[in-house]
Amino acid sequence: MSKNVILEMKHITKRFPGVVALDDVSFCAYEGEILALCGENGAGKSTLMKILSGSYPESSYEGEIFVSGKQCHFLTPGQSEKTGIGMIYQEISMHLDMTVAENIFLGRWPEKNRKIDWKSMNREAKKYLDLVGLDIDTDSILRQLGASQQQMVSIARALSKNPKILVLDEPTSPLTQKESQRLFEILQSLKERGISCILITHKMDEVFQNADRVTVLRDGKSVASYTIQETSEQQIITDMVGREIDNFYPKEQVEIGEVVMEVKDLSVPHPSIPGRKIIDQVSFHVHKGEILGIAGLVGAGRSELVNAVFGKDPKLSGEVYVHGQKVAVSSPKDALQSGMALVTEDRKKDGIVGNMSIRENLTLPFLSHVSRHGVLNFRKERAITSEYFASLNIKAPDMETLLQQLSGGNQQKVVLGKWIAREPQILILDEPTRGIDVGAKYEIYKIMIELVKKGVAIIMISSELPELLSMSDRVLVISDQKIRGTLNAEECTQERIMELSALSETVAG
Amino acid sequence: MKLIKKILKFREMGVLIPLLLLWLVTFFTNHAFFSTTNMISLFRSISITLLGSIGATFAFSCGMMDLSAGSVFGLAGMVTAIAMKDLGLPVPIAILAGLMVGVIFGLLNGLIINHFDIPAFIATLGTSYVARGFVNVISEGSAYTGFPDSFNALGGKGLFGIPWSIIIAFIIAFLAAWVLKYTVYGRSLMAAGGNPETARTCGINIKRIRNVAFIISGTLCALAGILSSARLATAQAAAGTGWEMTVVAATIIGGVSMYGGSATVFGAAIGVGLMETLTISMTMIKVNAYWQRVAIGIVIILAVGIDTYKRKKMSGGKG
Repeated sequence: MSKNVILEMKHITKRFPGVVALDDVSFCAYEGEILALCGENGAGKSTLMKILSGSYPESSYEGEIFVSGKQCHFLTPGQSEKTGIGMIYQEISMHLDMTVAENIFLGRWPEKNRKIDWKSMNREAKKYLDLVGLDIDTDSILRQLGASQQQMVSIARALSKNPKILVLDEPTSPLTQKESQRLFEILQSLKERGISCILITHKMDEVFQNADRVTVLRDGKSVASYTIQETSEQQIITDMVGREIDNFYPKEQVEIGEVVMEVKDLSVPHPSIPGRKIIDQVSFHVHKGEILGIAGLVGAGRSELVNAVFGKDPKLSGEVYVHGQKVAVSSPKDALQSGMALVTEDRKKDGIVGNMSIRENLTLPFLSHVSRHGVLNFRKERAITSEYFASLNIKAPDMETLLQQLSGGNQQKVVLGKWIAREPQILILDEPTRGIDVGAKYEIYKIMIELVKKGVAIIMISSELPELLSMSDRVLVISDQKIRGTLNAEECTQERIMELSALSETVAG
Repeated sequence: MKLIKKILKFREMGVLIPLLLLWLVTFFTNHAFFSTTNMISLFRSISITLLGSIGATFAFSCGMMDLSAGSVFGLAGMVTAIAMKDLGLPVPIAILAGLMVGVIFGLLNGLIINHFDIPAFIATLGTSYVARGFVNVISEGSAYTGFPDSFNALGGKGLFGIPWSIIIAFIIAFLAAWVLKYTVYGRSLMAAGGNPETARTCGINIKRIRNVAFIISGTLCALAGILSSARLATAQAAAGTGWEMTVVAATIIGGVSMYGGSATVFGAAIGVGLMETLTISMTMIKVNAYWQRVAIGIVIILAVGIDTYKRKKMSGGKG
């Protein structure tokens, strides 16, 4: 490789409160190559790219960036863009009610006599649409286009800024197989023109079909870089997941009983792409005393699956049976009544009421149990709350403390507590330990074990593979709308889960 | 000392102190301020606005807003008047008919917002036009007077010489405060405003909560409209025009958060007190009527500004 280095990021360290997101990461990209950046959920890929794009200003991290050998000091995304770095994000970020041409030249509209020069804007836009092979009118409104066309427009926009380096974050997730192919053809042609592409993906087939080199990140560190010829899929997966599993998890063997809940042929619509399914005809069951893990990459539809089971999100079809009885779940209220509870993924969004106290949050799912004829029984409420306040070891001055004043771990304990206090038979946990400290994590695992001992069936979604492997009795792996495998505790390894997670329709047959 | 500290830490102190200061300042400028007649007149104004403000407190608590308040106020007064005068219905039935206006418009607001997913601001602006339109249609733009004495008596003095409207508003304020604090409905309402997604996940039927809140708001506005026309012994087509803004302003001054989840009836009452006192005091200390509105506007911005500042400080400078 005698090519010139176009981008070099050296010793990048980025800290968030309580977490080191990037720990001394260094990597480089050559002129005219496609570099794949691989890593598990939370490995630090997005953080790294936000630093490159200037979304995190220079003072907020340590390390240096060089573009074409010159050191850069990005304080705003604009500065990064001027240096020739183009970003294409996973989620399409455009103005849906503006035209294609307006979107392509967003904020840089060509002017003539202080007015927008529509003629030249449309002409220029057409040029970039041709480049990405999109045959649509430049004055179509973006909202009327399909998700894949919108994605192509966002690529056209990035190209219109004449980038030297193009960063694509999971660009194929809204695209069909054919459209993905078209995208990679475009990337190849850009490559020939000397533009470097950094492709963030966890799809192994994309890496091996298109990339020249691959850099693997794990837990905020760059662990390996290979040229594509000298590595294998197996090697990359091992690098991505090679985390130590210690005896941190308080797992105990619990007798597993009969089937408590069964889900049959569940289909769930895609939350942002109309007409597409995120979960297609999925069936599974969970036993009494069992912890059923659900693995899969972010965006694979794990949360949408459990939210639909719980009646929180709409479903297209599917049946839920509890203890062999079919239950109609069309709202969370129905789910609660049939013995389910759901600790949602995002505490702030739908787990807590921040301006209410611990007491008021804890009793929210079962107000009818602490009241008579609609009048609250404060004495009973306080009794129940103080019981859980103590047993969950919530660290707060008292139970009248507002939730917004608690740390993430303690908020999560309250969320867990409010569902446990309702004594559910099926407890669904969506990323139960995300963003909380180690001590609180351990306490949450202990609570889970106590519950399965009592015969509760637990379904746990987690992106942390060690947690999933150590706590689960069985693991379902979801990818590309379907369950791609069910692994027993014995056959379950990080590598196996990662392999199944990376499966897509074409590869799976 | 401890008690004083506790009182000073009370959330509503931020508005209560300015209110008391305003009373004192007005008293020193014009000793007639604390006369019985003036006090009764002040509290009578407060009582009518307070009814609307309690309604607004319920709407705000679940993150909603009711801009139809003024029109429902007018329509309820007019329906009651026409029921008595043109239809010759007995007074209690006529009042009931007026209250039904509030119930129906409340329900309508709730249904529109829930089923068409329209922001409350827009939906209630729409129904406000509809209600005001109906007032003009049924009255043909004219005013009604000459009501039965038993109706006009409602606008006069009741027990111990205290006007009925004050007694009624007082009772309803206590009842509302109790509902907000001590009932499952009150708690659910606060949760639905504080974080609707969390409330829904906890099995709370948010749509029903909102419907009930709008029905309460509509009914209280209707009651205010009926009491007001009893006091004036007139029902006018323009009655209550712009009243919703007074109500919203007073409620916000009282520290009831427009973003839901944080509300007390006591706060709303002090807010109304401040608004009504401002109007009366400024007249008494001879502030030019045209300047009064400027002053009220500044007070609204100050009150909300201070409240927002305090809230930001509490959540550690975030948000």
